[in-house]
This record gives sequence, structure tokens and C-alpha cells, in this order.
Amino acid sequence: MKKRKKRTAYYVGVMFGVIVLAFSLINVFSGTKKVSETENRALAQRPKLSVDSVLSGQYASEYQEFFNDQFVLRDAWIKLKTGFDRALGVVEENGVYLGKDGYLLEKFEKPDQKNVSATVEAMKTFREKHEDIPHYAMIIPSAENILKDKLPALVPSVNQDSYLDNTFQELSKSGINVVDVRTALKKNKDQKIYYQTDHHWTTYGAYVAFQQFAEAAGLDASAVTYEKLPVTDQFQGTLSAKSGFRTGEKEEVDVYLPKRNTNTTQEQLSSVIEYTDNQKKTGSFYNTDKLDQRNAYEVFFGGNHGLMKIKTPTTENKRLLVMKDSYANCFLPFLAPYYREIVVVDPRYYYGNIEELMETEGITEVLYLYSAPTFFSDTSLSVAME
Amino acid sequence: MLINSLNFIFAFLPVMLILYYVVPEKWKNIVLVLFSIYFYAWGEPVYVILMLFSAVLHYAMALEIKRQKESGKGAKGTLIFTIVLDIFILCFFKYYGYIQEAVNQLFGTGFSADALGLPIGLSFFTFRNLSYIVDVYKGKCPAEKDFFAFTAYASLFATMSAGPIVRYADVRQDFHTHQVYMSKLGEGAQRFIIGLSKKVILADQLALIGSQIQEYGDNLSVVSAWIYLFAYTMQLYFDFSGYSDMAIGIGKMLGFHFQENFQYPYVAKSVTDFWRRWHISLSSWFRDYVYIPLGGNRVSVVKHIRNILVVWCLTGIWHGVTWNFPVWGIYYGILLILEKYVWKDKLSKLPGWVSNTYTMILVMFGWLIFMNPSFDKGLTMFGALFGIGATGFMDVTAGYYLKTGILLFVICVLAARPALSRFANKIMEKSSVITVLVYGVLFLICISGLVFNSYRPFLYMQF
Repeated sequence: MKKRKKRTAYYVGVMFGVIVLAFSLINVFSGTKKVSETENRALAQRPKLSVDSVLSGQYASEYQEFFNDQFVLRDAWIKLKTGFDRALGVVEENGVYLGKDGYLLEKFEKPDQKNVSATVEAMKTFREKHEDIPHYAMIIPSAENILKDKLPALVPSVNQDSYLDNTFQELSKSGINVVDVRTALKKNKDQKIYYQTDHHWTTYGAYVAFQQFAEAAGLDASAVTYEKLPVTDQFQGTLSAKSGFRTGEKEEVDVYLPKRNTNTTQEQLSSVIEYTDNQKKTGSFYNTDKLDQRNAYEVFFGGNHGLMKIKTPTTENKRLLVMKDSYANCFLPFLAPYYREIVVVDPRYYYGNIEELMETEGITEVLYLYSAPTFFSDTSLSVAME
Repeated sequence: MLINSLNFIFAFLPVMLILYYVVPEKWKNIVLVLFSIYFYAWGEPVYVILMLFSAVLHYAMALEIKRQKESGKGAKGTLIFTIVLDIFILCFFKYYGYIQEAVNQLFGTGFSADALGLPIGLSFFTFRNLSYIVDVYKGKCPAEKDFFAFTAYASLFATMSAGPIVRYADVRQDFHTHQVYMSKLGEGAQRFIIGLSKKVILADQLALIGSQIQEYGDNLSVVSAWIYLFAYTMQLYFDFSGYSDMAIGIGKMLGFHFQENFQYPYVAKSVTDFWRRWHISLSSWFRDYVYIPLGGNRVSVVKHIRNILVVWCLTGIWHGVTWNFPVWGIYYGILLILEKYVWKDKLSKLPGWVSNTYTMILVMFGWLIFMNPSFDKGLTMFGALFGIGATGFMDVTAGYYLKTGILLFVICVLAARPALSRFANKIMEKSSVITVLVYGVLFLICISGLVFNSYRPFLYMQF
């Protein structure tokens, strides 16, 4: 019996030695990688050796990071780990829930009441300053709210509805026109209104919301009809990257083009979009170069920009200011037929003066378009409007 | 460096082991010393000097004590000098921030009251070296002449950051013989993988659940509060005993035999029994170097009670600088006195599961004090356990963690008892193939967990 134990120990020793040596050697001889595509970030590189960095301990911690980041078969290890966690019954990784029917849903973090009040206050003040023009606010709940039934059982979620209700009430009181799209989205939840592996809504979801907006803003939504055009089926969303769940899953991204037989077609197609951050002008809402990237949602305007101006050839004379996060990106094209100019500000990347914009652009309507997670956590909107 | 990090397992360990195995016997201690210095300097490029100073000091003082004793002089002065110096260094680093604050308040001076970073393993290596010098004085351990043998012991990387507090008297022979063979490496690897699994698979996952429940702050339901305390209780055991297992495993790979540090503490049937099973090297240290010199239990009842309280107050203080640690220590002192003088043998007459439940509830309350530096917070949580200030008996959070954590909790309860390892050993004795497979799979899962720790997707497109 004892002999057997010894022999077994011997074999375990061999196994341990082989695994340790094999990975150590492969680590040494496999080159360093610059980026991780799954994680969408630069991987740590071999730190530079200097007396200062060694003595401060910085070298050690940077080397550690480098060693971890460059470990061989990184992606495979991540898969093994999330697979093991799933077997253990874990349904949440890095704040992402593994939901039903292939849906990944982002956990809604409890908002900091101070930030929310500051944002709401800033919106109220802004409205008082520009009383003569209509202000609209759309805060789109994230999938965790609309697709509640897709959440894993018993998830202790923070109630977005109560935050939305309170905020909507506050905003309405100050004369801001709140466009609540929850009912409309819920009615359409059997359709794909959110991506399964990404935190954004789909173009269809945006279209549903647009119809609500049109009603509130007195636009004739039926004037333009659209056809759906899939532009890629290779979209791998941020939620799968963030959680490691369903990393192999790829999705379709659609754009909605106005039907060519209507007379508004030319109008939308010949819009000019001016991006002030990189001084570029394009004639399309869609940046098809982005389709080859992992994050194909950037096909809409090539991602977020601090400030962009959409000039359309409509006969309308209205000029709209949109303050927004990335949820707006797939929504904006629906607005084009109704406004002469749409000035789009993403306060997180915009450092200019909004009052000045109001004046120079001759803004006649204001729209806030945010996803609830950004609206309730971001502090840049109140700062930008100061 | 941590012994549960990728660069320890896949860079430091293989290079060190290969060198250690191939060099001739007399060089092995030198290899150990060099690698231990490298290991320590990795995290503490400056304090490594303090660690080495402590090693050299105790090496020299032990020889001095030996010389004085041989020449018929008393060596007590040297012993006391060393002990005082050790305690001074320990207190200086632990309470530096507090001392500065006090000085500032007294004299209105404006020293910046930053706490000095506590040198890694200071409490451990000081206690190790103290045990050596006392043992030499008492004649329980010969003074080591071989400088590298002692320094290899005093600086050993494996036991540096989390013990066990190995005594030189117990391992001196090992540092002169260095018996290494493949089956020892295998035994060591088994132990190391067990420890790593406890840490990475169980403790780290439990920590995640704990921190998530804590996010809900004061709004705990009764069941949530119990889950939280249970998860913390288990996490502490698997974290700490996991480190001990890894250290013992590495010791085996090097041909050393370290004493066990944990003996399934959560099956204990009394608090007294618990402390015979938890962090054994620390409680036996306090027994041998404080409790017994004070007279132990061979004194009057009053003095005995005083001895117990002193030892447990010190045990508490050893664990940390905030006030809750001495309170935690005294809490145990009182419980031990009660078991000794009030309960007496009533506990042993109870059915096993009753006395085990009694022990575990007291131990968990102990951890409640241990984890909360603020009195208010500890009290709030204590209240929540019994529905005072709780948001009801059960809430969604509790249901969620019960459902998603139940498998982990069951594994933890089983792994904290000897039955599972007895069962596993039986199977493994029958088949080498299964054994190698089980350890191999555990090892791979641990590696994946370690790689996953560095998994930080960058989500600039998040917004």
C-alpha cells in the first residue's frame, strides 16, 4: 500500500513538473502580444529595468502584470475558467448576467443620488434659460429592465423603474417633455430590441423609440418608410468580452434605410456630417470600415464624437441639439428627415461651451437621449451645461 | 511575490527547484538564501535589508548565548536584549502611524502621519526568530554554526508571507540533509495543488460572494447576513489553510518537513478544541513562549485566568493594529476560561453535532469581530443576524446567493471536514491514474483562475 502511494506521488511529481516546465518554457519562447482582441485592450509589455523602478517596487508590479497578460493560451484559460464557474452555478461574471435564451444582461449599478440630482438640476436650469423652445428627454432603460424575464432566476436587481419614475417626474415638473419608451419597448420585447451579447439596443429598438418621439415632437413618422439592411453578422458585443460568457457568439447588425421609392430618399442620403474632433466630413451616417472590427456597433457614425453636426437637405427649418450617449448613435438617422440641422454633443468627450452652440447654431429644439446606465452614472452632462 | 501567482509557479519555482536539485549538498542552502532574497526583494526591495538583518542578528546572538553559557556566564542579558529589540521592531512598524499621530497631537508638530508599509511577513519571521533564540537559551535547540543553514531557514520564501511559524529545532536536521527525490517532489506537488485549489477555487470565489453581498450595505436580510458570515468564515479558513498547504508542499519539494498548521478546525467540538486545530503553529508559539513561562495552569486560579487573558490579548494584537483584534483575542480568552471553569466537561457529554454547532456559532461571532474594525458596523451586522434592523427574514439577494452558491457552499462544508479527504484518499490509493488526473485537473483549473484574475476587458465602447 505504501509503495503504491509512493509510486502515485512519483507520477504526480512528473505531471506537476511537466505542466510547470512546459508552460514556463512556452512562455519564455512565445513572443509577446501587443493587444488582446477579446478584451479590446493593449496587453502589458515587458517593463523597462531601472534602479528607481526596482526600488519603488514599480518594476515588480509591472512585471507581474506583464507576466499575467502574456501567459500562453490566455483566451483558452479564460474560457476554461468561465466554463468551470458556469458548472459551479455562477451566472454573473464582471457585472454581466448569463441570461436565458442566449441573452447577456448588464447589471444595473445603484446610482449615486448626488450625481443624479446634479444632472437633473442642470437640465432644469438649462430649460429655464431656454424656455421658449421645446426640450425632450429620453432615458432608455437597459435590457435588464425591459427583458426582466430573460434574467437568471432570483437575480437581486436594482430597480431601474423607480429611478426612472422619479427622474421623469422631476423633469416633467420643470417643463421638459419626457418621452417614456418603456411601454413601447415592452410591447415589442418579443422582437430583438437589444443585442444578446452587447449592452446596446438594436436599430429596431431605436426605431420603436423613434416612433414614440415622433408622436411627442409632432413629427409625421409615417412620412418615411424603411427597409432593413443587415450590414454584418460578425458582431461580438462588449458584454461577452466583459464576462467571458458566450465569447463565440456573433450577431447581426442592421441599418434602416429609407425606401427608395419615397421622395425623401435623396434628402437623407445626401446629408453631410461634420465631425469637429477630427475635422472630417462624410456623406454617410455609416462608417463601414468599422464593420471589420470586433465592435461593429461603431458602424453608426464611427463611434462617439464630442461634437458632430449633421446637415440635411430638408426644407424644414428646425435645428435640433442632441445631448447623448452611444444609444443615440443608431437612433439619429431616423431624425434626419425632419431637421435642417442636428447638432450632436456627447458631453463625455465635449469640452466646448453649450450656450455658445445654442446661439451660433440657432437651435430650436433640445433632446436628451441616454441609456439609463450612463444617465444615472455619468457626471459630464451637468458639467458640460454649467 | 505571492506563492499563488503565475510568475511564482511558472518562473521562480522551476528555476529555483532545478538549481536546488542539481547543485551539490553544501550549495543547496546558498541557493535557498539567494532565491529567498530575490523573492522577498520582489515585493519589498528596501525592507529585504530588515529581514536579512533579523536573520543575521539571531544567528549571531544565538552563538553569543552559546559562548556565554559555555564560559559559565549568564546569557540572560543577551536573550533579553534580543527579545526587546525584536518587540521594538515589531511595534515600531505596526504602530508607526499611531505614534506619529500621538506625537503630533501632543506637541502640535506636523509630521505626515502615514503609516509605514508593514514589511511582508514581519510578524511571522520575527516570531520564528524569537522561537529560535529562546530555544537556544533554554537548550532545546543547538546554536547553529552554519550561517547559510540558519539564514536559509530564517529567510525561507515558502513560509515568509503567511507562515506556518516553523521552529528551527524541528527542521534543523532538514537544512543539513536536504533529502530530495521525485516522490517527495510529487508529495509536495500534491500538497501545493491542494493548497492552491483551496485558495483559488474556494476562497477567491467566496470572497467574491462576500463583497457582492456587502455592496448591499446595511440592507441585509437575516438569511443574507448569515450567508455573508458563513462565506467569510469559509473564506478565511480556505485562504489561510490554503497558504499553509502551499508552504508545506513547497517545503516537501525542498526536502523539509513542516508541522501541520490546521487540523480541520471547523469540526471542533469546543472552543478549546478549535484552537488546537486552527493556526496551530501560532497558538503553540504563544503556549510555549508566553503562557508556560507565565506559569501556565500550575498556578492559582486567579493567576491562571490572568495568564489566559494575557496570552489571548497578545494573540489578538498579533493579528492587527486596530482595536477589534485585542477584543477578538479577549473574547476567546473569556470563552476558554468559561470552558475550563464553568462548562467543564458538560460539553463533552453533548452529542457531537450539538457541541460542534455551539463551537461554530461562537467562532463565527468571533470572525464578526475580526472582520469589522468599526464597532458600529460589527454591531449592525450582529443585529442583522437576529433580525434587528434587517430587511426581513429572506430577500431576493439571499435567494440568489443560495441558488447560485449552494454547490460552492456544499463543497466548502465537505472540504472543511476530514471525511472528504479520507474518501478521496481511498480512491486514490486504488488508482494512480485517477490520482494524477484529479490533481492535474485541479491544477489546470487553478491556473485558469489565476489567468482570469488579470482578465480586464477594456470597454471604452462601454458608453
